[in-house]
Amino acid sequence: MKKLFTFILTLIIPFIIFAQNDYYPIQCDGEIPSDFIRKTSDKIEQANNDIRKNRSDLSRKQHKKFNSMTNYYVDYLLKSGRIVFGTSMNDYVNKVGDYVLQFYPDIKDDIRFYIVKSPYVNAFTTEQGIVFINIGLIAQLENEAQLAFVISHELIHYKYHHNLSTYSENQKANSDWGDYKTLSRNKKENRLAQYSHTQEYMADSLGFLEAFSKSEYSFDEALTLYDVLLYSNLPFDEIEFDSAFFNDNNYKLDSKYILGEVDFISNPDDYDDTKSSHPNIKKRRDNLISLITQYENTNRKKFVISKKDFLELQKEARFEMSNLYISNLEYGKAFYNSYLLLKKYPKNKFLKKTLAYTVYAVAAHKKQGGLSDVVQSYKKMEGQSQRVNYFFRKAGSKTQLLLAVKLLWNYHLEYPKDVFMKDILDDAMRILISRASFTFDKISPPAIVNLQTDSTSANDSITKPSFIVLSDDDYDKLSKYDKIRYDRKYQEYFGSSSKKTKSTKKKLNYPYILSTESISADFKKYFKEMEAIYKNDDEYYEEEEDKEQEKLNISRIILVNPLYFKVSSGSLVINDFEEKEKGVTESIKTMAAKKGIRINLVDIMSIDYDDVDKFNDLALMNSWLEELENLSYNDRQSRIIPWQSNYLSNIREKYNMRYIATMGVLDTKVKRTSGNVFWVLVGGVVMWPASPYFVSVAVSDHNNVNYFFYCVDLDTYKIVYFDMNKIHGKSTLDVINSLNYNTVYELNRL
Amino acid sequence: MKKLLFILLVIGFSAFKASAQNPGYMGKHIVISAEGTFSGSIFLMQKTWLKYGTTIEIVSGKKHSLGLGYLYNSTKFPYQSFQHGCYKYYKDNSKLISHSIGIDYYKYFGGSIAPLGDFFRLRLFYMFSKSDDFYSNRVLNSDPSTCYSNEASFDSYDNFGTSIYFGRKRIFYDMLAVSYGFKLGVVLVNPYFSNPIDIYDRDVNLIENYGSYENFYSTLISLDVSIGFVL
Repeated sequence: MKKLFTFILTLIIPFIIFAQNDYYPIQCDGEIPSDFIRKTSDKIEQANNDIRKNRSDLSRKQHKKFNSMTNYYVDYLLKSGRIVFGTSMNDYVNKVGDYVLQFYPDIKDDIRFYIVKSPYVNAFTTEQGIVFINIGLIAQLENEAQLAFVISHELIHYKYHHNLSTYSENQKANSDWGDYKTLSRNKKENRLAQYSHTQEYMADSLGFLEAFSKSEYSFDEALTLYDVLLYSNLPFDEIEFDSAFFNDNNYKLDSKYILGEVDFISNPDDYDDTKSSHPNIKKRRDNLISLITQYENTNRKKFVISKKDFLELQKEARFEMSNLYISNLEYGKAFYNSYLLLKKYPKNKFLKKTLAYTVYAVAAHKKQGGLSDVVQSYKKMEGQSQRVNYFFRKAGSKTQLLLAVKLLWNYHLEYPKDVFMKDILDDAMRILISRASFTFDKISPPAIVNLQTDSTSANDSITKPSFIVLSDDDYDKLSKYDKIRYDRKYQEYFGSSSKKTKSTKKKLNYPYILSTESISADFKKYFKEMEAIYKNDDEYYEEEEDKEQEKLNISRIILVNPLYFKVSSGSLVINDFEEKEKGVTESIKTMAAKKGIRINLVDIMSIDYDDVDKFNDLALMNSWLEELENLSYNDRQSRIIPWQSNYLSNIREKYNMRYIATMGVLDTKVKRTSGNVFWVLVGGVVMWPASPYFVSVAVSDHNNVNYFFYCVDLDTYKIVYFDMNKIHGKSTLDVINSLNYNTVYELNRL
Repeated sequence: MKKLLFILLVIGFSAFKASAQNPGYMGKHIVISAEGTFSGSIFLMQKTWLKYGTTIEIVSGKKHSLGLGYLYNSTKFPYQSFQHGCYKYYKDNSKLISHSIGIDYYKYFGGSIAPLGDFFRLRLFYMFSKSDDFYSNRVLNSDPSTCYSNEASFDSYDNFGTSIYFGRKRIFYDMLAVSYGFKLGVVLVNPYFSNPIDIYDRDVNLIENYGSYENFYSTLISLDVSIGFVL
């Protein structure tokens, strides 16, 4: 028996260790809930049948409009792939939710909890009974009691139909109904904000009175939740970013890239909330304190369901945050998030991967433009994460590219089978050599040879470290001459000033970054190979052009989530969008078939309840395409390899397709502006015989069809076809067919 | 005329050759339509002209097409009576018949892909106008010995013209093409293609005078509708 137990342990332990040392982004599991699959039109119809007069002041027509809008937007979110279900994270949230729901027996059966893949601290509830909780909030929560209070609060919004009454109030304000008639625009806004504040106080108070006070949870945690909200702009922890992260024996990060002192975290809790939808934290805290003091708050718990499960939930959320930040192109935040986690999980592959990737991503943006889009100015930040952004903003592009190569090379040595990261390393080398004109010869020879870095160099000249970095106190004790000698020697070793004095002439610091790596024969060989490919920039791009001239022979495409929107005078037209969307999809499939292209549609409408894998594929592809779009600038090509390409290789193999595409149609109808009408009428006067035509144009609405389609090569991550067209007229079938046929015609020519 | 035919052939050949290198409408590149134009009183003039004919459009690029068009117009003369030379001319309810043959260039704009959507069409046309029976209805009204020798006997008037048509084309059931819009045009006297005109008789050439008036105002501005097939 003991042998059997040992045997099982030996089988299991490696998997446990592996799981702890890596992380795969969160994915849905189990049967797909009907919320995701049911047609929006069916939901709207059902909601319209359930309209009850006593819930709001809205007319039946207005209530129907509310049902249309809310169901449309909620479904758009549900079907976007950003919502998570069926995971262990969901299980835990559901358990806490069920616990809280025992105090809301009348709405218990209506409620569903889902997790949103968003890094921002937020939770919200819909009139349909869905409570959405962002991963950003979970990552910041300290305990289960805080989560329970969030849920208690959100359920009050549902129970008392706050969404509906807010919509009703907005309608009154927009139509100058009742008291709103006499108010200025500014006062209207203030009054609407006040109305919203009342609801938030109500959700806090009733959430506490109806549920939280009856639970076993500690009331203190309801109050500490306000701190979570107050400091939600900060990362989940405050640890000093140590620039030694980049250092080794031969390189020390230049002190000018290191921010001396970070700004004090000043978030005031009594901020001006006149225009805010929520009251300020101080008011909310005071409101709750006045209630809590009326209740006994002893022997209460931070955890009722499971502390262990909560910590797992929190850990997973924090890991996921790095993934979400990178996908959102918030590289500064991603770097610091992973840095914080690495302190606790120093051997985690995922964290090393995200850190190396973010440095590559920032360096590429710094060199190729767009840095301000991906790294926030450190001046707008507070706390320790300021140092990271300071470094990314201040360090030169060569320094950053070399550091990226350093991290990526060392990652490659540790995980040589990671093909994606090898691609990233190659791309970093491409930018370094072709754009930054850096060659192997420019690397400064290492002052200290580390035997461990490369066994083949054991016979090379080996110098042992003869230089010891002094502490500030020891440095101060040196004589003037020794200080000068020290500084010179420091420069010699590290190429940067010692930060204690600037008495020596400044030398370039970046040639030392890869000094240690340059000892390795493998690295030298690799660098030289890359140099041969990318050294002559022109030649490289000529080759690229030649490649583009080769016929792509696109015969199969994955088409992700075709979209159809109709907007009339600024309002979304929801009536028949699903039929229209289906029409657009059928059209592209038919047109593609005419040109011999097979379309594999990955769309929520085509997914069955039990096909969660396809749902995950859709979510990933949607998210990947969004990332690619965000990374693409005027040239419509991504400046770097998108992060989520890492996970897309499985999909490529699964569908056996090299090309992925997405498309959308936006039908707009707008009233002509007075200026527009004027010029049309002028035309009518000038060409008076045609005046009836001009008059008819002047009084009619202006219709446009906006169409986009783009196709990406999964081999190169490049957009091989991009079409954005705007046609006068309506999105009739002939127009859609014409646009779609043109697209497949062009694809066929590539 | 040979020159005109040669030009038409070259354009037709070029259009067919180019048609394979653009998407057309779902791979279809030819639109053959019946066309009707309405002008005159609809634009506050005293008379109404209805012309009809046919057009063929060959899509030659993503944004443009080439084509040929023919329009027929038959319009009544008002009561006419005058004396000229040895004869008195008298005719009621005679018809002026015109045949217009043109070459077209279509430019699609506003994001449209030929042959669908908003377009303008530039047409260069040649117009034959004639009245078959006007001069046959003459009577001798004086002593033949005193008659002029240079008797006017021609009965036709031709001219050159150009028009621009702004329209929108829709396609139904992937085959039925409908265009609608308005057209502005001018007619010009063309010394190369017109029949010889006796300069001494120009002032009294009824066909010329009347044809000139008819052609000018019927071409000036018109509504245009065509229905046809996409092939």
